[in-house]
Amino acid sequence: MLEIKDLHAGIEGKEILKGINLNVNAGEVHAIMGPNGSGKSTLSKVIAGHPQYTVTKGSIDYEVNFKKINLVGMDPDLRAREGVFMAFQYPVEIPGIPTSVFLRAAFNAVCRHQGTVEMDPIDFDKYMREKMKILSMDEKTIDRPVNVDFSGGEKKRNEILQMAVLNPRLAVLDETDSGLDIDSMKIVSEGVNKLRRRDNTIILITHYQRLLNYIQPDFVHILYNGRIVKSEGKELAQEVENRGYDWLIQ
Amino acid sequence: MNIEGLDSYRSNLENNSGSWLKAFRQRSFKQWTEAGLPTVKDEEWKYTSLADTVNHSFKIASHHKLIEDKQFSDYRDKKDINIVLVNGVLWRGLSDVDHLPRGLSVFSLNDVIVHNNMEIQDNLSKLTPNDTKAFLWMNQALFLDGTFIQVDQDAVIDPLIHIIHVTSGIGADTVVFPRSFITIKESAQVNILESYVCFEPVFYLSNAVTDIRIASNARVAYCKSQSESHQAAHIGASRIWQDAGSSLDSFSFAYGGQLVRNNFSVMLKGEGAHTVMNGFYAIDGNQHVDNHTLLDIQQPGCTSFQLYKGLLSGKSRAVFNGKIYVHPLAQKTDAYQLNKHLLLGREAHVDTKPQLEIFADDVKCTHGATIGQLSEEEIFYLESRGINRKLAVQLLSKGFIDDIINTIKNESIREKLSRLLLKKFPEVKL
Repeated sequence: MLEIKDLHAGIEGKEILKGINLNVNAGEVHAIMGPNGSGKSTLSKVIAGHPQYTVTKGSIDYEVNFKKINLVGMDPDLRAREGVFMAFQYPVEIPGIPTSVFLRAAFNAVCRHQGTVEMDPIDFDKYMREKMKILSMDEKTIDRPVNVDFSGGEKKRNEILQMAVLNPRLAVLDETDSGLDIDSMKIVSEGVNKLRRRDNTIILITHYQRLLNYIQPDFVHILYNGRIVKSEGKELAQEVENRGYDWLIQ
Repeated sequence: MNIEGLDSYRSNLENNSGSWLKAFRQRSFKQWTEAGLPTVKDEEWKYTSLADTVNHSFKIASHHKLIEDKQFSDYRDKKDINIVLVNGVLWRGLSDVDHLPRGLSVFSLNDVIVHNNMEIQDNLSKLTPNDTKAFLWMNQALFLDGTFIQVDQDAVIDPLIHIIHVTSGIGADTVVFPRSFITIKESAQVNILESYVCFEPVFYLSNAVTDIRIASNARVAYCKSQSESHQAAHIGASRIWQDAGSSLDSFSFAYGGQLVRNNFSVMLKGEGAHTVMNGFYAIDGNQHVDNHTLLDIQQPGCTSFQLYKGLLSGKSRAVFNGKIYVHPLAQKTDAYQLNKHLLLGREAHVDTKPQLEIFADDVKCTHGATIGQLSEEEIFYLESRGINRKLAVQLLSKGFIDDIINTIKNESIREKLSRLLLKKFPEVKL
């Protein structure tokens, strides 16, 4: 589903990713771990198409419905309509736009592109409320402007709600666990687990092993200094928890 | 500034005024001509040049008939109590003056002044620190009529009172002098919208003055909606006096006009009065809108909240000068001011100046101002959810608008302003 080859990328002329290679198949959950500054967030932003980051070399091949496309150079909105999703580490506050309006605009944009039927406001409201139940969200959340005056936990739940509504094929969750208390982490993780399917892929980007107790990955990769230095099964996460990152770096 | 036929107009006007009004007009005329009009050398007019606006040979509107226009029906909503003035004169035929609810009276301003109403005489002579005296005096010397509205003590007027000033059937270079006087007695409650409209694409000057007196414990919502023709100049003064324990929820909306100056002043002269003073200017092309606001807090325990937002596209320019003056007596004042701009046009320009003058020591006053374009982070967030850039910009601009429009509690006012905004910024229609 996703094949990253020799990916070099950076921001303002500074190279951060220095040759990433990664293969991810449909139905798999991959965790990418690494110390601060290793390039974890850059990788997620480059996959999503953040305009501040420049890819200088390599490719990100994404395969959906037997169609292979290179994401590099593609507009971020088009990537999203093709089924790529990133949950933000720091979700953006948008005053004046109610969450429900935002979600429906996004949902209909994706539907139009994928050739499925758009929903009218009443049907969409029902659909959205079902998804909110998965994340135990307060009903009033959707009438409030997007993320404005949301607590840290509410913001992260709102990210996963968007994922649930948009139903992406490839979801990159960028430090979704940061700033969450244990209860919220459980709810968010359960939400993500319910969204795991045979035909989609989830990449979890995290600093700590904690999240992986709740969402069990198939593979764990260690990112250091812009390269993947080790890839193994889920046991690797526990080893990092016990031993830290130092032994991997030397 | 030259006005054709001024002498004969004046003598006609003065001969038809009572003795008090005649003297008042003569005194005002003298003061106006002696003061002269402000230039950019005046600190209060530093960013707004009148040179092109006043350099015309003006004619005073000589008739007061409404040229029917389909667009006018957009303004005249059957749910509201409509009070229509054409070129400054109350037009009874289109006004709902014959079936007013109990506790509400509406008269022609002339009729009331002629009967020597002391309250009006006293008020008409008042100056505020925020007045541009020359224009105020010009209006006083030359206004032809206006509306007088009174809400009696304890009256609760449910429907919206909509004062519509229409400039109609005029040629280029006309000058009009709309004038309103509103008095709201103790513990009364009322919602008022005052609109300035014209559907004719010509240059004219509207020199408008509205005075509102709010007695103690009254609760008032007042909105000024300026949607003059896009070629026009509008120089307006809204002057509001609040007594103890009264509450004012005000909004100033600037939409039309080539050159617009709004002097919006609220004088808090009683203890524990509360004021909301919000505003929105939504401009494009070469429009120039200058808002000078004053909150003059004279007594203790008053609270105020002020949010002014500007949406500027094209080469439009906005000036905001927000003065809050806290007198030595006015302890325990709580005043908040914020001025935010969204620049959609690369060549749009803003000059903003908060001006707090505080002479009491136990007060809480905060202020801030922002000028910005749409945030790239916000756009990317929407794009990352599949929304294309064009729609993202629409949604964010609409968000900026809704954030301020939704502070208007009266639904009928909100609907009317939203309708206007959609006309001007159809791109935000979703």
